[in-house]
Amino acid sequence: MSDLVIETHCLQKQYGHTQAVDGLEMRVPRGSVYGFLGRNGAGKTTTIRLLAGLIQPTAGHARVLALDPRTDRIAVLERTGFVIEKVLLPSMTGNDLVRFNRGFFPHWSDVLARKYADALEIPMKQKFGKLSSGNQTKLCLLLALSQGAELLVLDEPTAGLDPIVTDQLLRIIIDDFAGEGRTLLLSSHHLSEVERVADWIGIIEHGKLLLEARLDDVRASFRRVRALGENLRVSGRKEILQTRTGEGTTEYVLRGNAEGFAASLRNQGATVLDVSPMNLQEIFLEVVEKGEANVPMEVLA
Amino acid sequence: MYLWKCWRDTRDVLCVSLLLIGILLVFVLRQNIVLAPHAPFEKIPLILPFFLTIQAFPVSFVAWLLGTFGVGRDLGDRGGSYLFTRPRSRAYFVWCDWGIGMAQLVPILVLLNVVLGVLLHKIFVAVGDPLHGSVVIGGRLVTLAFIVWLNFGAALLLAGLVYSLTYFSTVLLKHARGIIYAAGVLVGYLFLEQVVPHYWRGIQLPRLMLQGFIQSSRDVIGISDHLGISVATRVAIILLFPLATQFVLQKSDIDR
Repeated sequence: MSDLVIETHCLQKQYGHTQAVDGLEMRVPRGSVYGFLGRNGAGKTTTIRLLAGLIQPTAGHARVLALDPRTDRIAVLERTGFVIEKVLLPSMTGNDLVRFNRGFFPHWSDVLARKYADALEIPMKQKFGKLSSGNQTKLCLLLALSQGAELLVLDEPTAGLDPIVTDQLLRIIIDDFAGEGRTLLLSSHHLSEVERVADWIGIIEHGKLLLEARLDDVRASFRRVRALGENLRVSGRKEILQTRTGEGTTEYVLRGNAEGFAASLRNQGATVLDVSPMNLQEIFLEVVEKGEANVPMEVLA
Repeated sequence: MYLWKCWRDTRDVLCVSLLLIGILLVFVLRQNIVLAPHAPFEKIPLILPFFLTIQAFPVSFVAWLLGTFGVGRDLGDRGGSYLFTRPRSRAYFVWCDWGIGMAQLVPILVLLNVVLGVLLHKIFVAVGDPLHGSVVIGGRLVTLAFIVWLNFGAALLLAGLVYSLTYFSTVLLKHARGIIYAAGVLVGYLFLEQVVPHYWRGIQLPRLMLQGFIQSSRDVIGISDHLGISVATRVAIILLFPLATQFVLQKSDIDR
């Protein structure tokens, strides 16, 4: 069995003159919680639609659970829970939708559906079209979580939810789903949420993956170095992601080898004020701003 | 489960239609047919094409209404991403939708033609019914049962055509505009059917409804020739629409 649950190679999707996904190389390890990050319009939803077989790639290919979504779409969908648009069938109540879904999935669990309906306080007798946007989202997630999928792909699952419900949902997703060793791909631009639950991240911009790595490695690798000094020779160093010059100080954003870099500055007579870690939000902003070609921090074995 | 959804979506149309036709049936059963004294039995065939035509309007409306349900409506309501991430082929959704719609048309048309049969029987009895439930058309003895079957077949083929065209249009154009498009095509064809022979004599466009009888200007002179070929051609045309829908859906990107 492959260690990769999702794998794409040179995946492309073009709409007219717009390249929505542009040579995407993505690898989601089995059992991971993968935060798929990107700005609005970066290509996250298009990628997910390609993985679900809803749209056809212009070039390249994707494998989901070692299957091709173009040719083995039904087998992929039997084993994967997708929540893309948070729109179900407006004339059906929550109970109707549970009944509707039950027949499609061999591992469907009514027990789980009831449990989540109670835990998330979803009015199951109300028509989907009449539910609040938050309850609509919760119902979409309930259906995906109850289908007994090996892989869950959620596109912006917490958009429009209040912080308490978001917290509740994330706990359910992590404890009940990912906690059992199953794989979760979570697309979002709410970085604090992703940072809380993900163990892998991929950052997409203009349809290209800029960064894909274990979150701990990303945190350990990215550093902000502030130094005082003049005529410092740093050009050509590959670890520098960004350089900003202020009043007498220079700030470097580095990817890897921060200590070595700081030592080289000191050797040139500079004073290194601090070498500080960065949170995911800061890393995301720097990577997207830089927008350089994908340089994976860790290549999967 | 999808069959259940199709039934759930369309059952109101079926129930209301059956209820209305049921009321009509009760009305016909309670009605005494009184014809003018010495009404000639031989003139009965004249009313048969009228029966065929009069059911075209309600049947077309119900078929058009049923055609607006299904995948096209769900795509229009942005439910496509949800529906097509259920593990079934797109062809499955099309044929379930289409099959359920056609299956719902059958009881509606059966009941409608039962009403027709009862009414014709009462007319036969009112004029003495000398041929015991039959009538002579073009020198041939034609039974009441055959007339009712012919009406039923013509109505089903018309309903199937309207329904399938509407269903295809809603998928092609994503619901709302599709319904208007389908209605526009039908009205446009009816218009052309009238206009073409007026400007180009000798050119007669095929009628939307199967023509069971050959008529002269003053009489019904026979049962149409090649009825089997006409029926087969219409069945083939009707089946082209779900096939085209399946093709369109399989080739299209579901981006909402």
